Amino acid sequence: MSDTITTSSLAGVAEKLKPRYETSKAAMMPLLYEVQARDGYISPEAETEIAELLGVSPTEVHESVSFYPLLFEKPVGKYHIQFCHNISCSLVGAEPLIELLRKELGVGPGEVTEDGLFSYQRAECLGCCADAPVMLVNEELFGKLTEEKIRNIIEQLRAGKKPKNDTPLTETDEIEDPVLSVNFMVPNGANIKVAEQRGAYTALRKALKEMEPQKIIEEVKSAGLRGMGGAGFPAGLKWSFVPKDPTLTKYLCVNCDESEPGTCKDREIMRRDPHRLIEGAIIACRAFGAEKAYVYIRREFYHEKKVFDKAIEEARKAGYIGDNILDSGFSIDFVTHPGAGAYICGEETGLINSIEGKKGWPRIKPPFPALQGIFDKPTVVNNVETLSNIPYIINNGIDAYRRRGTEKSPGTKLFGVSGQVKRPGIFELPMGFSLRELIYGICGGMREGHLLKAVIPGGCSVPVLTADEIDVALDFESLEEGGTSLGSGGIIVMDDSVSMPWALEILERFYAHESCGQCTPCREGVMWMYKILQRMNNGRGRKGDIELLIDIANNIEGQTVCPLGAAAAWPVQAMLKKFRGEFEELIQ
Amino acid sequence: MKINGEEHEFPDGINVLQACERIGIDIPHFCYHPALRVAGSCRMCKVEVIQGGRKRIDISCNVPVQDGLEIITDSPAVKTARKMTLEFELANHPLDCPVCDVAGECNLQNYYMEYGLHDSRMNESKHTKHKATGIGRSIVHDGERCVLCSRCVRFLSDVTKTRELGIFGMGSKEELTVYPGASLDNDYAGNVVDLCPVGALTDKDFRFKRRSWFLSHTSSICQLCSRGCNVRIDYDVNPYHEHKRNIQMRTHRTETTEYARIQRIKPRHNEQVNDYWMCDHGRYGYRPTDSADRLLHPLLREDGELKQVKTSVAIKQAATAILSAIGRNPDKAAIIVSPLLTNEELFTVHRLFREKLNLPNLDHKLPIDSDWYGDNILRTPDPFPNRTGCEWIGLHPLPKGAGIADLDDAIAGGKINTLLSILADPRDYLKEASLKKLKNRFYILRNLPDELKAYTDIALPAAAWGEYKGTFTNFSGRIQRLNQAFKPLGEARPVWSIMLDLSILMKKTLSLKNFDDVFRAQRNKVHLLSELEWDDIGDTGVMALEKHVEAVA
Repeated sequence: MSDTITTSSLAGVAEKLKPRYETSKAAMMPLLYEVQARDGYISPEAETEIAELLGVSPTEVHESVSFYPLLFEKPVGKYHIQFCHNISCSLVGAEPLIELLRKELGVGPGEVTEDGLFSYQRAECLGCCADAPVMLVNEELFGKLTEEKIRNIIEQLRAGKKPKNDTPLTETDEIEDPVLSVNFMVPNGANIKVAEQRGAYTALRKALKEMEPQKIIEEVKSAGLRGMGGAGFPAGLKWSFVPKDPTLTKYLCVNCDESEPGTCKDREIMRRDPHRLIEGAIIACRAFGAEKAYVYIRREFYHEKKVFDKAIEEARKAGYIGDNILDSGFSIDFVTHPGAGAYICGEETGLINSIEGKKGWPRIKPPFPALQGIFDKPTVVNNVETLSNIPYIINNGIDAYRRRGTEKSPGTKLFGVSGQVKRPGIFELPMGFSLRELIYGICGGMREGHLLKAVIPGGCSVPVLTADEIDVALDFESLEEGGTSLGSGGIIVMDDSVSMPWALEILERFYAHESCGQCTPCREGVMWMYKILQRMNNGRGRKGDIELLIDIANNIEGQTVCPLGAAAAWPVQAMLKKFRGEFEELIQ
Repeated sequence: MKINGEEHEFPDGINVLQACERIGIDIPHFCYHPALRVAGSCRMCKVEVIQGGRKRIDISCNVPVQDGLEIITDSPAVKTARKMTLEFELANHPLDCPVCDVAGECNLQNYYMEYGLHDSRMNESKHTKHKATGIGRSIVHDGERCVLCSRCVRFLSDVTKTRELGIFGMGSKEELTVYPGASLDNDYAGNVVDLCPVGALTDKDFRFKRRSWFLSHTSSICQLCSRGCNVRIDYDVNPYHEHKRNIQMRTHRTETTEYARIQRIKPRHNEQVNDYWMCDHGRYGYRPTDSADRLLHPLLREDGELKQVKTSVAIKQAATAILSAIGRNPDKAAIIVSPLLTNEELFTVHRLFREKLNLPNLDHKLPIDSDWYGDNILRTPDPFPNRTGCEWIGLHPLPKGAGIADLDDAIAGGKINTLLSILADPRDYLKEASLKKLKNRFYILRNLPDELKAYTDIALPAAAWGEYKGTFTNFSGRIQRLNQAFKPLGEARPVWSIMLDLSILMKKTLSLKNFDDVFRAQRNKVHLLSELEWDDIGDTGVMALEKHVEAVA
């Protein structure tokens, strides 16, 4: 693994990490990664060591270690491979590739090869769906995998060489007057000099010098900016729930835990244009008075986090982050915080708990984060893409932003297309763009010899659309009318080769794996649904299975602590409604 | 606000679940507990909430009461939601009720009968988790029965702050258990068994002892420190419920202690005293009541040997011995009482020996075991339950009299030759030489250890904890009631009753006939309102009159 550190320096690291947070416990996750880098895994002795350094109980440390998939309780290989087996990767042949990997390495998931070189785990969505099939080797992502590529990578690693990584950059298109993808095609677009030349931080200057905080909120409200993480809640309205009392400490949490299968848009901003996000986040902090932004980045985004951390340092040096920025009297700090492979941490209160060094169990509401969020202080959690819209709105004004999109869903949005289209990729499009046009136009239609069968339009949680239902506009309202949701804009396209019970089993395997275990309906019900689907697909379907599945799904939806219970229920409800015949065939 | 169509008023700061309980509507729940922070995870306590014209199903434990709220607790939607939550809880439950201690007092069972009554639709393999694992001195854990309500976790993190238990892992395979290598052994560990709404955490001490439906319950007060935690004695006096090998050939209960009557002790809620908790010392401290060294019949030394005699004979002998010792000089006898006595008992001792006989050597200040300690949860620094009673009633030596600390010297010097020790083993406060030198050694004891017999002249059996009623005054001046659960064994009697007989035989009658007389006569001494009756004390006690409480504080 990476550099070794000595025990004495672990204490030093802890002392360096603690001041970044309001409680020492919050330093747990980065400290655990230090130990994992040192030892290769986290031993019980290390748990005790960390507990002592942070002044918490070993139980609290072990709760986290046993909860998060990317904290290892036993040693892994020198090269640990995470191979995605979620829907987007499975649609383009992940399973045969995992089988190949198993044969090549001669070990099963969770085992280490005799020489100690390799181990692998099946991973739930690495957030790079347009590059499917994908795997991470330690911190490096390999995409568009083929049998040959995998054999090559293993061979090179065995020979002690750094394998060639020829993953092509994710497909995208240039559009006129882009809001979000301005720097996507620009070489070195993540560099502050390049970004500044292309207008980065001009909006920040304007917001600090020419606008009162309340005016920023009003502007974002009037622009109609919606939350792009999935729920579509108006961003300005969310900010306005934060108490105005200037004596209160407030925080922004930036949600870059992009883990909804099919969704891979935030990653592009993080790695291709991080300064847009930083600028948007600073303006947001200014608007509702936050003094610090915690950026929660999913662990699988190793590269993206490196790029983003570098961008933060550049911005700090340039005087955009720190005390009294641009002589405005406003001070802001940024802390990036790594996730650990748990989907649930994309839920805003799960994310807050995760930063606080706890398991990512969502909180019950009330209290809402706007009043009592991270470290019990008023907090706003915003998605990466949401915040990245703000510089454009401030620079160009409400009318320019509203020029595109619909009345209620204005502006543009990043759509990630994955699955069985000719040209998967990440595309900025005006809200209200036609789904059919996106699939058949921009993405080049279906693979040769296949017809479209189904589309999941907003990340794998939203109800599926049949091939007959794709004449729908991609905006919040139109998709809701169509019985589904815009969600995160991760569009998963399936052709006629796909068995829907098979696809649904993959989805429910994901939800069963990712259920955080806190509340009863999701913890028990989702695994139950998965087991039923697994049995049906294994040829042991029973009379009543379909009705039971629907009943379970109906009783999870809306009955849980967080919305992710419903997220597991919707695919079941929709698939069984729209493709019931295929499920009936599995019942003797 | 409205509940099921009826208007009610509630104070701010409580939640809908509590509000419903106040008006007699039970809301089923697993994770909610009034003394713990709200978790909201079991989803069992759902009700229909109508607010601002919008209807939703929500968990009643996390909805604060507020103006204009409308709650429906019995609509079809609520019933379905509860039924389904229960089905989820039971999906992976092992259904091993026949071998589960908690059967009969299990929320899963009770709610199933009330809200479930469904046939199982779970045809998949159930999770397997750890079963019957000892995770501490007294706690056994069963992962499969656990509903993951986290009550125990919250108790150990927020009340004891020891955090031995955690919910480890993720999703449906997660498991509540003790931190690897740790042991759940803190002084309050037993409370997790009370908190557990199902049979996931059971008590080694109670495991497989009795089916819960065989138990009778009597409320009482713990006698093992000066807090006086409110407890419930769970007991069974039917010998047929004893394990088979023990009841063979036995047709009815004998008066010996061949089986234990007390099966377990549970804390009772009293916000003013112990909230919902008790310490393990108190919880497992019930054994002396049914232990083999119980003194069941009076013993009298005749011709150098201890012999069983009738109570009347023993009392007569004691009266004669004391009277002859103090006939010329009241300094010759010492009366030592333990602060374990109830107020009524202390009162009769005091009235006879101080008020009637004016004995100077009367004391209660037994030495405190050096192992004893108090803490900042419940345990107080004083391991006796009724020191306040002793002090208020006045069980002190007179200024020139001898207290416990002076006894050895006084005996050695021949100043004292007669001892009456009540509920106190004299070896706890006297040297062996003193015990040998004493002329009259008269004890009223619950338990007579064999080793003490050599130093005994007269021993009268006293009724034990659970066998009689009375009151204790705790460290803060709260007077609390011990009720009688079952009859005293053998010829054991409460000390007050022995004192009444003794007073008659000593020709100093106290003119009190029964418990009610004693209780009424002592009210003034223990600073109760003079018209306060036994029933008025209730199950949670009353504070002594204010000025006296201030004095003790």
